[in-house]
Parts: sequence; C-alpha cells; structure tokens
Amino acid sequence: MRNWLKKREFVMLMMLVVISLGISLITPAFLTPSNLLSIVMNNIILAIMAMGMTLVVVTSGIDVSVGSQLGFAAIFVGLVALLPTANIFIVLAVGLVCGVLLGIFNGILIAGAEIPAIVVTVGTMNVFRGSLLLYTNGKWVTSLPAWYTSMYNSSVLGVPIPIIIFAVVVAVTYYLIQYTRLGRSVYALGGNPVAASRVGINTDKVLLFVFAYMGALTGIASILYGAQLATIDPNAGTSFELTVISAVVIGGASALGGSGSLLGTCIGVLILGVLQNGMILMRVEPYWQDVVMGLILIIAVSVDVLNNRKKEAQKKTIDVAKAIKGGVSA
Amino acid sequence: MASEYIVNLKHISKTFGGIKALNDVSLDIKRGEVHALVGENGAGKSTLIKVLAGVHFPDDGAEIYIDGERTVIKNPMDAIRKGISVIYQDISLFPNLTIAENICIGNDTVWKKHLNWAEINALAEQALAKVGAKIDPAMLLKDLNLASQQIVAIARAISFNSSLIIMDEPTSSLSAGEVETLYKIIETLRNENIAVLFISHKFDEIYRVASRVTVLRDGRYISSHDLAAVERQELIRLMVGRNVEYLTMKAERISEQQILKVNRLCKEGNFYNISFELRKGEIVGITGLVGSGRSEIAKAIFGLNIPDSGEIILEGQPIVIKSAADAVKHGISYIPENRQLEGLLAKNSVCQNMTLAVLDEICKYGCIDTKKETAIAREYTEKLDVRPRDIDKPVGQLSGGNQQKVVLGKWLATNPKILIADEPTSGVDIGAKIEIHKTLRQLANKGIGVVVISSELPEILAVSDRILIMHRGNIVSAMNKEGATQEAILAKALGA
Ligand SMILES: Nc1ncnc2c1ncn2[C@@H]1O[C@H](COP(=O)(O)OP(=O)(O)OP(=O)(O)O)[C@@H](O)[C@H]1O
Ligand SMILES: [Mg+2]
Repeated sequence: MRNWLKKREFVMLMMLVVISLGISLITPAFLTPSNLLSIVMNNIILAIMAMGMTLVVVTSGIDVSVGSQLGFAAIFVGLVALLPTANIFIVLAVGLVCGVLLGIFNGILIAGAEIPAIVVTVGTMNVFRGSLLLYTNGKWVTSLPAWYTSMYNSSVLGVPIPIIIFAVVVAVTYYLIQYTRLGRSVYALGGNPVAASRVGINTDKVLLFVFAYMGALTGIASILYGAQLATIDPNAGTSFELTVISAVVIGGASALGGSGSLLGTCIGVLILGVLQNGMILMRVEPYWQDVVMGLILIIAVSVDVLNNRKKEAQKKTIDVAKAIKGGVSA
Repeated sequence: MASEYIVNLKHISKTFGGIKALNDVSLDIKRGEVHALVGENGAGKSTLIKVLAGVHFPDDGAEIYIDGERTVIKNPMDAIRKGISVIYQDISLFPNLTIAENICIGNDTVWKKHLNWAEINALAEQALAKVGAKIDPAMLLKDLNLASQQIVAIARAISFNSSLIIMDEPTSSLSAGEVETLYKIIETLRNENIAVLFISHKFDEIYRVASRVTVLRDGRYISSHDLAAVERQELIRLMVGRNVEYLTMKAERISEQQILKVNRLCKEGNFYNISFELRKGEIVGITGLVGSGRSEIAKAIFGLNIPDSGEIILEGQPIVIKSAADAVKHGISYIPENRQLEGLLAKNSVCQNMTLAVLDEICKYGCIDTKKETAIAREYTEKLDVRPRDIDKPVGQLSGGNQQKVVLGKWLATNPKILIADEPTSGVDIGAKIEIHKTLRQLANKGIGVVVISSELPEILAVSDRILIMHRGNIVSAMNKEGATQEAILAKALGA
C-alpha cells in the first residue's frame, strides 16, 4: 500500500484531482455528469493514440508523424465511406490497414535502416501530409453518410461506441504489455538495448512492431475522427502529435525509455482534457491555454526529475543469508 | 562417455576493425572445475568469453567443442541452450524490469509467448533462494544497489542449470560479505560438477576459488597451469611479460600545514567520532573491512552523505558541505568506488570523456581549446597507461579496465586541493595499479592532500604515508607507514 502511494501514477492522479477541484470551485458547470462525459468523449482519439505512443516512448523512440498519419488515414476512410457499397466493416478495415502500413513504413526505416526515430518521423510527417494534400488538392471530404457519422454518438447497452472501442484498445494493449513476451520485450529494449539482444530479443522486430502498432491505433482513431466531425480536412491532425506526446510524458513515460504505463498515460490524457475543458468553461483566452498546457508538461517532468534524485539515495541491498542451504541445481 | 572437457576452444581469433583483439587463442575447461582467466587490461579476456557466449562471432578457422563435440555458437541464446551462461562485466540487466523478469527473461522454460507470472515468480524465487538472497522478486531492479544487482545476475546465470557459468570480474562491485557469499556459491557449483570460468585481477581471489588458470597476453594464449603449481610472481610474469612488484614510494615533503581536519564526525549507523587530519603532500590510507564505514566517511566529506554532527575544517576554516557541488567549490575531488555507475559517454572519445570534468578550464570564450583538450587527454592516457593509446577511440570500445582508467583520469585531471579515491585500482591490472600508485604519489608531491581507501592491504602499505584502520564505524588505529605490517593491520581491522 505504501508503495502504491509513492507511485508516479498516484502523484499524477492527485494532480488531476486538485486541478479538477480547482476548476469546479470556479465554474460549477464543470462538475456535472454531462460535462464529464463530454471530456471523455472529446479525448477518446487522443487517448487511443496515446496508448500506442506510450509503447513508442518506452523504446526511447518518438513518432511525430502520427498527426499526419491521422489525417492521411481519416481522408481515406472518408473517401471509402462515400462509396455506395461501403459498410462499417469495410471502413474499419481500411482505417486499420492504412494506419498499419504507415506505421510499418516508419518502422522499416527506423529498425531496418537504423535511422533515429525522430529523424525518420519528422521526414514522414511531411511526406505523409504532403502527399495527402497533393492527392486531395487540399479539398475536404464532406457529406459523409449517416450510417458512418452516427457511430460516434450511438451506444451499445448504454455505453457509447467510442468508449467501447477505447476499452478494447486498452484491454488489448494491457494484455500485450503485461502478459506477452513481445510486450515485455518492448520494455526490455527500452531499459537496456545491449542486454536485450544478449537475451535473444530480436530488437529490430520489436521496433517494427511498436511503430506498426502505433499506426494501427492511429488508424482506429482516424475512423472515429471522421465519424465525430462528419467532415474531414486534409490538414486534420496537424500538430496533434505534440498533444499525444505531451499526454504520454505527463503520464510519466520517460523520454530516456524503459518506463511508461497505460494508467499513467490515461491520467495524462485526462489532465490535458480537464484543463482544456475547464479553461473553455472559464472562457480563458486560447493563447493562455497553450501556455498552461506547456507549463503542465514542464511541471510534470520536473516532479519526475526531483523524485528520481531522491530515489538514488534509497536503493536497497539484498540481504544474503550467511549460510546457503541446499544445493544449487534444481 | 562424456568428455573430460566441457569446453575446448581452439584457434580463436577476433578482429575489430582491423585490430586483432584475439589471435589464435585456445582454452580448455574441464567439467566441474573452477578455471581462472587472467591477463592485463585489454588482453582479450572479455572478448574471448563473448565469443564463447555467442555475443561475438569469431574469425574464420575457429573451432569450438562443447562436451567434446564440434559446434558453432550462433547467438547468446544458443550459448545458453548449449549450457553456457554468462555474468557480464557490465552486468547487462534491465533496470526497469522486476527482479523476477531479469532472472527469467530469455529462459525458454518460462519465457513463453504468453507469460504466466506465477511460473516466472516461482522460478525467480527458486533461483534467489539458491544464492541465499532474501528479496521480493517483484521489486524493480533499479531500486537495488549495484552489488545487489550483481547478485541478481548470479541468480539468473544459475537458473539456467548450465554446465558452465562464466563470471567476468564478478567481485568488482561486491562488498566483503557478498564476496564470501559468491565464494560459497562457487563452491556449491563445483560440488555439483558445474564448471566456472572466473575472470579477475585479484590474485587472492584467484588462488582462493580456482584450481586452474589460463593466461592471455596481448590477445594471445600464453599458457595454462594448475594453480597449485604456479607462484603468484610467476603468474604476474606470465601476464605482463616481466617482473612487477608494488613500489613503496616515500613522500618528498609533507608540510606541517594541515589541509583538512575532520573533527568528531558522527553519522548514526555509518560512523562514529571520526577525527583525523590530512597534511599537504600526504597520502592517508583508510582501510578496514568493506562495510566498516570507510566509503561513508569519504562520501560525508564530499557532501553525498550528510553527517549528524562534527566538523570539517579546510585549511583552518570550518566549512559546511551540503552537496557535492559545495565540495567541488572547496577544491575537493572524489573518485567513487562504483565507477560503472559513473556513466562514461560510451560513444564519445577517450579524449572527450577525460576532459569532461575540466571543461571550464579548456574552454576559451565558450569554445573548446582542442590543443589543451588533447594535451590533457594525452597526459593521462600516458600516465595511466590506457590501451590502446588512441584518444579518439570511443570509450565503449575499450576493455573494462581501460574504461576504469579513463574515469580515473577524468578526476585526476581536475587539479583539486584534496583528492579522495575510493578503491582507485578496482578492475585494473597489476601493471596499471602501480602506475596509478605513482600518479597518486606525484599528485601528493605537488602539494595535494590525498586520501586513498582500499581493502587491498599491500596497496595500502605501498601508497600511504599514514594508515587509518576502521572497524564497525570507528577508527580503531592509526599507524605510520614505518612499522606497519599486513598482519598488524588485519588484526586491527578484524577488531582484535
Ligand atoms: N566492440 C569492440 N570494438 C572495438 N574494439 C574492441 C571491442 N571490444 C573490445 N575491443 C578491443 O579488444 C581488446 C580486448 O578487450 P577485452 O575487453 O577483451 O579486454 P579484457 O581482457 O577483458 O580487459 P579488462 O581486464 O580491462 O576487462 C581491447 O584492446 C579492446 O579495445
Ligand atoms: Mg574485460
């Protein structure tokens, strides 16, 4: 229990509670069920992509092309949805495949050609966006069919579909990183890449997977994007990557790799979501909103740095028994 | 019938970018024996075991036999499956994973596509119990200190039920008690007919645990012996190619001027009532069993361990040291014991690493004066005999011992008033040890006050002008160099 209190997630959770309380004291409109639900609904896309970004950051990588990926996949999903023969399953498949392909493209360059992730994804960010604008000529995709757009606001057994999709993403990702060799390899690679290959981890494969998974989740997010807004701008998602990365970092993932949790990232997303919602309710000028968001990021990271310093002094020693009983081999 | 030898290596060569790190080396390890591998820093010991462990692939012509059968070791996991596990010099574990994961990762019996945590934790607990370690396997590795991480590495190696366990300088980060544990573990392994290949620069240790020894020099095989049949001096001669002995160097001139005085320093649980003085030009040696509080005092003077009471007087002025930055400001330098933690910048050159602590001095108008930089790096690579003598080489490509020398050089270059060196020669070979002793003496002769902490008694006798002996947090005796003997020091250190 004590341990739990010391956890990074707990600190961030407290921060979230304090911020929420502060906002609700100023604007009573904040703490209403409908407003809280809308915070969640407005940040599902961010949350889904942040799940994938958590894994990327754990490998000590980064993917700044996800904003462009989102726009790219969303446009294609929209174009397919406009076809007369389209249905929800085709749309889902197109979004997913499109995202995975973009992610694999990044992954091959990063793992195969061993170019640093920041370099590759800055490049592909422009390549993806540029080719999208060339292809669409800058035109929006509009008048999407109702069967597609209604998806965002319908529910199954009272639970909105986007929340169900998010829950599935979280469950799959959690299972992946907690109960599969591949998922643990992601953390091992982030913790000590040299040791990782020494214990038989195919580090290239792991990196490729991580970027492909990031792409897959961006693809899923792109389906929700079109459904939520009903029109898709080829500039959709521009600089959204920064929000995604902020959420992950606020949630406690270290840019040095090796650490980061889904719960932390969810809290990171909520902190950003709550702040934004609160500031809109309080009618804070938009420019100020950027300043506050940036400050929160810096504060969160500073807390980490201070925490780590303290920890260095509290390392444990294993107590080794004076006499060793029994044999060594099993 | 199973072969008498568990491993035979023949004609092993390994070239790194045109330089031969190994040249036609052979090594034969008998089933169940403890075999020591010795040689100077950079002789190729770690490279040889990395070939055996599947980390490096040898050049053409190599022959590897396991259990008498010719084989090829494709990668590290292949080596483990063939019964060879390794504790690397750089430990090579995952700080961000749990102890259980660190033990089980890559172990086919539990590290399956879908992980069963009950299975993993059970195997880890079993492995930890075998080395007598009491710790919760769900803890993160990074929450352990370096010595404890080393114990986890040992537990991991044992958990594979290998027939050969390779240990590359396993004791360099262990305390005396932990070293005893390691000896016991090795003994148990031997009783169960598991062979151990043991790399070390400490002769006491080698004679204590090993029965045979193989000597490497400059990447070549020199000879193998039964340890019972070869004297220490002979072994050193084989390693270095000439006779080497510790030199006792007298101080040129110890001034009457006290540079440092420590007055009744106390820290509950660490040390009590510590008082001593250090004069300009003097080397004070502090010895005692590991855990007797030696390193804690050093850290207290350097601001890394704040004492409960007592005072530190620098050149007659009482000073308050609350952090390492304060200490540096007062002209105190400290070379820590666990230099693996020091974080060399592996991809940067020897030169850049050596001058890291003196960046201010080598900068002119904010730009690095490369002439000065290379001069400093040249001076200390020369003085400490860093091999190869190439200051542009990335530090990560140096052998473990040579990396140690770079860290040492980095701190020696700082030109302090007081230098505190904790185990300055850990991990370096005998020739380099003597060079380090000489360097410390030269610094003292320049008027610096030097404190050397070491558990190696011959070293303490060779370098110090005065010797302080600690036992359970107290200074129990102070001896002058004249008249001090190993026996007398040991008796005091043991609390007699
Ligand atoms: N990855 C590498 N790239 C280039 N050179 C290397 C590499 N690894 C080792 N070497 C070189 O090979 C030689 C042998 O190094 P090795 O690490 O085997 O020495 P060692 O005997 O283990 O020494 P120590 O006692 O210092 O650990 C050294 O000259 C080293 O610089
Ligand atoms: Mg070595």
